[in-house]
Amino acid sequence: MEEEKLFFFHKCMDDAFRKVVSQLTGMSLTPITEPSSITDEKKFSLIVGWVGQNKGRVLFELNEKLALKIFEAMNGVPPDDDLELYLHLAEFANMVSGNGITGINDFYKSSELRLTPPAVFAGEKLEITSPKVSSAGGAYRLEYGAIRLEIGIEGG
Amino acid sequence: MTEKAKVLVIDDSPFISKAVRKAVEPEGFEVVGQAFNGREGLEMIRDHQPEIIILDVTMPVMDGLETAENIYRRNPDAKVIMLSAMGDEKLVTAAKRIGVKRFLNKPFKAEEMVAAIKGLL
Repeated sequence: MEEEKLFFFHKCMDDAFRKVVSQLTGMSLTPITEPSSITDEKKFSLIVGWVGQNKGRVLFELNEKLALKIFEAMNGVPPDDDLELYLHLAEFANMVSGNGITGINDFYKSSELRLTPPAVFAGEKLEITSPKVSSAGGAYRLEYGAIRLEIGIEGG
Repeated sequence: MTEKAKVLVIDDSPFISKAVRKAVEPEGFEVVGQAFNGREGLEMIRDHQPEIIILDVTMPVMDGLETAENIYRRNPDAKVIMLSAMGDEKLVTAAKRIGVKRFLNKPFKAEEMVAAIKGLL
């Protein structure tokens, strides 16, 4: 996977992320370089994979406070339980990834990428690594915490 | 008929079902239920006979395109709104070829959903 293509994939996901966050939550985003608060406390990792001409995944990392605020922004009320929170975070990740993949498919007509079901992980010492992927990422500060977005493409 | 039309949501996300209800019930439409995959959706269509079917694409067991094929095979006049986070040209073309008349992207705005339903009734 050439660097230019990886950059384009990242840009599509980044654009989709900004659009979905804005439309669903109304929160403003500020790009940051060091999202240390994400690793200092309980966090959520959301992963959505894709298959097609190439395989890859989108990874979101955010802290619990921000996850709860995103849920509240989507629903108007706090979640009843953890499962409800997880299901909504999964749909949030799915919407960002779907919009991003749409941009990629419309540009690279032969890519025919399709999403796989999202996965949600929660924990205090959570580290997710994918050694066999090329990745590009960035982070944002939102009103209630930071969120990191990373695109990984297999076979880079 | 634009009042009290029955709407069925086939989507594995509880958020989407809530968002559809929030969008359409103030307009007088009745959401008769949510199916979490296409196979369950086909059974609920038979049981509830909805005027409008809101159909996700990526679902377990039976996806949206296969579900739409089944729906139109049984009822060529079915009114299906496909609702997906993905909306690339090939997917939209495939859906239209099956018979789907409306395609909305997630996240959707309430007024877009209401307009799509009214446009089909």
